[in-house]
Order: sequence, then C-alpha cells, then structure tokens
Amino acid sequence: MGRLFRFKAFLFLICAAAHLFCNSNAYSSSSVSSSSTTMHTNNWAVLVCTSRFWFNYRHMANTLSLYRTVKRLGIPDERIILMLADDMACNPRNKYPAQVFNNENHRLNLYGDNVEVDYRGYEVTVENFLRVLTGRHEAAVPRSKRLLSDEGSHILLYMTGHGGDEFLKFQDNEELQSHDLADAVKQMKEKQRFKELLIMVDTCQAATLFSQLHSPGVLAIGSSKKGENSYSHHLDTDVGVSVVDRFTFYTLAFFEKLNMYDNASLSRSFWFLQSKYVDVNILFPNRFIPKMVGGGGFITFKRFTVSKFLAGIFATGLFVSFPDWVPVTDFFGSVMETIHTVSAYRAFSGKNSDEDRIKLSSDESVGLEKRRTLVSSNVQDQINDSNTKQDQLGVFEYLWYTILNKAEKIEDADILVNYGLAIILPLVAVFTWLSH
Amino acid sequence: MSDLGADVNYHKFHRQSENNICSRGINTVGIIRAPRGDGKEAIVLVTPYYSSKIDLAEASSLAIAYSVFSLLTRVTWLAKDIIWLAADSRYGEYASVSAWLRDYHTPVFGGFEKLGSEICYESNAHHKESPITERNISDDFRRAGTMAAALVIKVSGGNKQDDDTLSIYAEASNGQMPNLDLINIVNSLAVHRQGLLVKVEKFLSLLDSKYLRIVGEVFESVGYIARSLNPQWKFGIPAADYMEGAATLASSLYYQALGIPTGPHGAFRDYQVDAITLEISPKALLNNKVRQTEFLQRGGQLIEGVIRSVNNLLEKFHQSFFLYLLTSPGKFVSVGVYMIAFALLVAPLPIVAASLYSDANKKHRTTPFPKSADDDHRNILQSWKWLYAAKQVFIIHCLGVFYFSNQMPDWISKIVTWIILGSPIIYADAAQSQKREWGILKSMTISAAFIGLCLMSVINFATAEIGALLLVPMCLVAHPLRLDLRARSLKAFTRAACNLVLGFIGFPPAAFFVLKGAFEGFESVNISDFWNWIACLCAWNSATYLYICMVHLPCWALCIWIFLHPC
Repeated sequence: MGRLFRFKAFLFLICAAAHLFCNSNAYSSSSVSSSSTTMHTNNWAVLVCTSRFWFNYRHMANTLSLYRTVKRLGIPDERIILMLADDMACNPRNKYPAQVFNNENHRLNLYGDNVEVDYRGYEVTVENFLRVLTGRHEAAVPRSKRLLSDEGSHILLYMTGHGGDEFLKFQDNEELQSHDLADAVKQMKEKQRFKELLIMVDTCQAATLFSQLHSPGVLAIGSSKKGENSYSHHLDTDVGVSVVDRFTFYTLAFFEKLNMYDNASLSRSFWFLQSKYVDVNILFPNRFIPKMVGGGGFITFKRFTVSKFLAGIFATGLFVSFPDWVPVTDFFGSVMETIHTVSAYRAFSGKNSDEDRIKLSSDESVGLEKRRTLVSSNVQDQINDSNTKQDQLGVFEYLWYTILNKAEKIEDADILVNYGLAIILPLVAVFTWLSH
Repeated sequence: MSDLGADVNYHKFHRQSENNICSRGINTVGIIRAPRGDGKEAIVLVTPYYSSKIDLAEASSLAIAYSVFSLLTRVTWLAKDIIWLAADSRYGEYASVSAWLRDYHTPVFGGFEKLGSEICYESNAHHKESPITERNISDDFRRAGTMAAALVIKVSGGNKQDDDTLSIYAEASNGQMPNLDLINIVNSLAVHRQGLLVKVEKFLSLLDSKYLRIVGEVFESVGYIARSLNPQWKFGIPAADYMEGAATLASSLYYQALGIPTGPHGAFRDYQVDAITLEISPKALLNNKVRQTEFLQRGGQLIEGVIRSVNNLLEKFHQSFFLYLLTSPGKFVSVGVYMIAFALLVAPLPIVAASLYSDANKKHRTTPFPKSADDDHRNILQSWKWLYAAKQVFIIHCLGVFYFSNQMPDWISKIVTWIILGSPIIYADAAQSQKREWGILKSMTISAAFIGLCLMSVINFATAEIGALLLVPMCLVAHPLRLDLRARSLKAFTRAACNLVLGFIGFPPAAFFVLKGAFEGFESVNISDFWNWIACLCAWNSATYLYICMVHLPCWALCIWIFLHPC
C-alpha cells in the first residue's frame, strides 16, 4: 500500500517535473530564439497618414516631418514606405502652393524635391496598409511598394490621423481596428519580418490601438490614453489651419537636435517627451511569459522618472531591453555596423555563437557612452580572435565555450530556477527509490 | 471688371408689376474663375446701387467690392469661383437680385429668348454701348456652379458712434435664417480683427422701459444669490445686458414673424444659399481721401476674411443652427430652448378641449336613464353633437379662406359665397337644445386653434409664438357673457372683464395699434398703417398673412361668438 502510494507520488513528481521542464524549455527556447540572437540588419520605416482634406493639414505635416527626420538620420528612400493622401501641397486652398510647413515660422518646407510617396491619394486604404505589413501583395505590385524586411530588421511604424477607442479612421470611409493591427503584427512575427518593431501613433485615444498586441519584440507609444484627445500644437494664421500636432511637435523638437552620429537613447527621448508632453503612454508587451502579466505591462509616463520606470519594470517581472540602452538610431536612423574583414566572402551566419557574444556585449551589457568605441574595437578584436581561435580550438574547449555561452545567455532567473527544479525532482525521486 | 480679367456679362431683367408697368433693369455680373480650383462652387458678392443717381455711400460700397474683387484676381488661395453682382436697384434691390437668381437657377437651352421677355418687349435703343471697353463683356448668361454663400454689402451714411459700425441683417422670407456660422464668422472677424462695432436690430424703446428694467434687476439678484450659494451656478447676467438682450430678442422675433426679408439676401434663401446683408456705416462722412482709404481698407479686409473662411470650407454650412433667435451679435437662443416656451403655451389647449367635451357629455348623461327607444335614439344623437359645433367652426374658417383667397378664379368664389350664404339657413334648422351647447363649441374652437397654431409653428415659428401669446389666453378664458352676468360673483365679473380685454386685443388691427403705440408712442399711430401692413404682408407672399386670415381671425370670431352666445 505504502509502496503503491510512493510509486504514484513518484510518477506524479516525474510528470510535474517533465511538464515544468518542457514549459520552461519551450519558453526559454522561445526566448532563445527571440530577437536577441538575430543580428540587426537594417532599418525600415512605414509612415502612414490616414486622413485627407484641407483641415487635416497637420496630419500630413506630421508624417512628412517624420519622413524628413528619418531620412536625415540615415534611412534611404528604398527602405521607407510613405503612405499619404498628398492633397495638401497642391490644394487650391494652399496659400503657398507646393509647400507644406510644420511650423508657423515657415522655416522648413517639408515638401521639397525629394519626397517619394509610395501610396498616394486613394491608395491609402486599410487593405493596402495590411498588405504592406504582412507582405501579401499581388504579383504586379512593384518593389518600392513592398516592405521587404527580414528577420533582422528594426521597423518604425508611425501612424497619424483621427482615431478613437480601438480604431483608426482611414480617409473618412473605413477603419483600422486594434485587433486587425495586432493580427498583422502577429503575422509579421510568425513570418519573421522584423526583429524589433516600434509603433508610434498620434491620434486621439491612441493607446487603445495597442490593446490587443501580444507579440514579443514590439514597443508601442501612443499620444493619448483611452478617453483622452490629442490636440494640435498651434494654428498658423497665414496658412489658416493648424500645422502640427503636439506629440509629433515635441518628438521632432528632440530629433532636430540630433544627427546621425549622436548617442541619444530612446529613454532620453521618452524622458524629453515626458517632461514636455505628459501624456506619453508606453506599452511594453512582455516577451517571455505572456501569462504572467495580464496583457502586457502598461506603464504611463506621467510622473515617472527613469529610475522609477526601471523599478516598475522589475516589479512587474517584465524583462525588456532597457530603453536606456537602446539607441534612437536603432529605429529612427540607419547606422549600420561596418565590420572590416580581412578577406572577402567570409560569411557570417546570424546564429553563430560568436556573433551572439559580440551582440550581447555590444547591446546589453555595455554603457552607452562607451558603446561606439567599444563596438568598433571589440568587434575587431573579437572577430580576429574568433577567427584565429576557431581554427585552434579543440572539441572540448569548443563545447565548454558553448556551455559558457548558454550559461551567460540565461538572463531570466526564473528559467534557471525552472531548470533547477526540473533537475532536482527526478534526482530526488531516483534517490528515494534507491534508498528503498 | 473685364480689365481685371474676370468674365463679365450684363444681365437684363424685367419685372412686371400689378398695373402692367414693365420695368427693366440691367445687372452687371463679373466672375473670377479660381485658377487651381475645380469650378464647382462659387461665392457671391452683391452690391446694390441705384443706377440713375449714385450717391457717395453707394459709390463707397461699389469701391469696397471692386477693391476686394481686384485682390481676389491675384490671390493664390482661391478654391471657389467668385461672382460679383452689381445689382441695379432702380425698381428695388430685392427684385433685381431675385430676378438674377431665378435666371441663374433656371437654365434655358437652345439659345431662345428668356421667358416672359415677349410680354415686356421694348426697344433696346436706350442701352448705350460704349465701344472702348466692350472687350470681354457678353450678353450670354454666365454661371459658376452652386453657391456656397452670399454677402450683400451696403454702405450707409455716417453714424454718430465712436467707430465704424457694422449692422447685420439675416432674416429671409417666412422667418428663415441663414446658418448661424455665417453670422459668427462675420461677428468674430469684425470684432476681433477689424475692431468694428457690430449691431443687430433691436427695439430701442424697450431699452427705456421701466418694467423690463425691474425684471432684469430681479434676474440679476437671483443670479447673484445663486452664485453665492454655489459658485457653479453662473447664470446671472447684469440687468443692462438683460435689457439689451430682451430688446434684440423682441426685434428678432418680430422680424421673423413678419415673414418679410430684411434685405436682398432673402432672395438667396429661396435657393438654400446662406446669405446675410452687411451694412457698414463709417463714423464720419467720407469726404476726404485719408478717411476713404482707411474705410475701404477696413471694410475690404473684413470681406476678404469672410470670403477666405468660406473658401476654405469643404461643404456648405451645416454644423450650426438654422433655427434660432439672436439676442446679440454673439449670442442666440436655439430652437431647443424656444420651442419649450411655445409648447408650454400650447399644451393646455388640447387638455381643456377634451375636458370641456367630456363635461358636456356628462351633463346630458345625468338625466335619468329612460328605457324607451326614443330616448335611446336621442342618446345616440347626442354623442354626435360635436358635429354641429364642428360645422360652425368650419364655416367660419371658410370665411377666412374666402377672405384670404380673394384672388381666386370666379367660379370658386361663387361656390364659396353660396355656401356661406346658405349657412344661416342651416343654422336656423338646428334644434334649440343644440344651440345651448357652447361648451362643445368652445372645445371645437380650441382644437381648431391648437391645430392651426401647431401647423403654423412648423412654417414660421415666430408667427406662431406671437399668435399663441394673443390667441391662447383668449380661447381659454372665453365664456358666455350671459352666464357670467347671471352668476353675479366676483370670479364671474373678472372673467367677463378679462374676456372683454382679451377679445379686444385679439382682434388683429387692435393688437397692431396697441403694440405700435406701446413701442413707438401713441401719436404716430395712423389708421391706414394697418392696411399698409397687411398689404405688405400680402405682397410678399408671407405666411403670416395666411395665418391671420385662416387661423387667427376665425378663432377670434368664434371666441366672440361664444362670448355673445345666447343661452
């Protein structure tokens, strides 16, 4: 009787351990296969202005300002998809024909000579937008209208217009709903079309558009919460309409001070936004265990300083790459790492552990100010070292090396605990059985 | 105009008055086509001028319009076409504008002559052609798409205020008003940009009224007390504001009730185009150049601002109210608020009618219930008693129709006359007992008044409101004089006295005289004024005339009949 009971308990323990092990393995594998292993290859930007008509001048000015910023910081036209109704510059009501301004000092003409609009006028529809995101186009669609991102791309998605509770209005006759957007992002993640995605939305009740997002690797910023409106910044009495929205205005005020070589971080930009414009709300969907935090952590930036923000991260158990360490040019510009190779055609596979190590050291663990120099020197050294080492390492050293790598990569304490538990339970079971 | 590069054409119109005198006039129309616009909509500027003899004020209005017109030919933000109509007001401003509008909205195909021109044919000899400037001027009728909004500009002689004044006239025929947004644009641009003094019509005599001042002060003190109790309750206004608002409201209500347009802008409302008349009066006479330039600049900037605002719109005005009463250039009372007053006035009518009818029925049922077929028959007949009363009411209303439609063809008027002459015979035929039923007659009268007032409120609310104020007390209080005299109680005497007073006031001429005397002083009252007033209403096809003939007069006659009922 006792033996039977002990046997059942033993079986139960084995099953529980296996279940936990499998779960944690699954999660850890998903974490392992998540964005931290792939290399950041390029940056894309999808800029969408969803409204038309003269009184929505400011939405087009928003989008064009961001287009200009993104181009100035390095992303070329072939990697920008610009969707605009494009009826402002040549509108008969425009006192300055062929010019679009975002400030009443008229210092900057946004509609210069090199604006390439990919989807213009009535082509800006929900269908086209979702096709761009998911990549499901008809055969005849040209390459310039496709989002040809790969699994290492960082994508910036900026949308502006009129929105409401869980929807965004497209050109006055259709709506994009939050679950459609979440579905498209999920498809993108399944098809590995991005490494990290930053969504910025400047409409009324913008944060409701992200309420259904659950994909890992997505950072979403809305200009207002549910029930709040987003207002325009100022009215240009000469042109006769409001020329820019507040959220975009302050975002641009931050970016105008930067150039391609600046080290500004996303968190600095958030802090700047927070100090100037207190309604920034940031949603961090968690990456590893979707069930732990209900629907992703939702943190408002109203009165948080950066330290409180970090504390909030730990408290909810989320893990996210600290925005403090993520450079702004990861999304808004295109600063490519150039790696000098001694010989041509020495190809790197994205999932090589050496590259992972380099990536780790450059992304996650190094202080920001030293990143630039460290990357260049580290990369050089590491590359040289790894090149030479790989030839000389024996099998055992290599194995030890990989185990060390894996051990270093375990970032979440929970995984370690899970591993430990998973191993302890069968051990206990074995020893109890042995002792009998 | 053609020198500026606009499309110009002459519009010849005819107007046939009652004694078959044909009047011809020539309007000059200039159209600027927007260079980048799509040509589907237009904004209209109207300047009426007396072509035989132009005085300084009219010349100033033409000058303002010309300067704005020449600016608009050069400007880059034009999205709608601009039409400038210099209307010949020799035979009236309204007539010329309405003739042009009628021809604008009725396209004639095939190049045939305009309708009605054969009737009024005269030789063209007196139309001089000046050979030099006839470059682009044509006789074809030029059009420019649907009209988004229209402005009528008039300049009047100097006023005695401190600053240039702008008066706004907005009422069109039958109390229709343009969208409130147009008035708001003009008001805000004039006050905040140009610093003009904006006025709307008001009854100046009301401003001196002591009773109104007392009421205003009562409201002010009530508001003050409420605010001291709870700072959220901020409905008190100073007594002076209240009096000005009341005077403007009374004037607005009166002009809407008249149903006659207050300016040439009324012609536009018939085609669902929002239009107002702006009358700018300079603070001093415009006899020196400096003053003239300054005045032109101010007026021109205001009009340019209004035109730019309308130009930037994508749709016609529809967001603001169409049914409102102005209490000041910047404040108004909307239909949702003023309908309540009317509804409260008119609500007792059906209730009283129903109660009177059921009372009359009950009086007959109190007789002991006989069991013979004869009485049964009489009971059934008694439930149809109201038909007799209805017949009386109907006949009286037919009288009203007859009076109203004295322009109808002869055979209909003959039939109506026969009906009316035949009615005393029908009347004499009725049973004696039925003649005693004044209660049912009153109930029928009240129902007829109720229906008439409700129908009128849909057509022209202001008329219905004033009519209800006069009619409802009279109808409710009507009581046979003989019964009152027989009762000999204080209540009966006061009731009889009220009946007399209200019956007197209810008679339209009497009401007219009393009100005119109250507002303007009794010296200026003239007997013929009333007939002029009525003739005016009739000539403008105002629905108020219809109301007076078909609802007010019959109900008044019936109330008098009840008052003098033989029982």
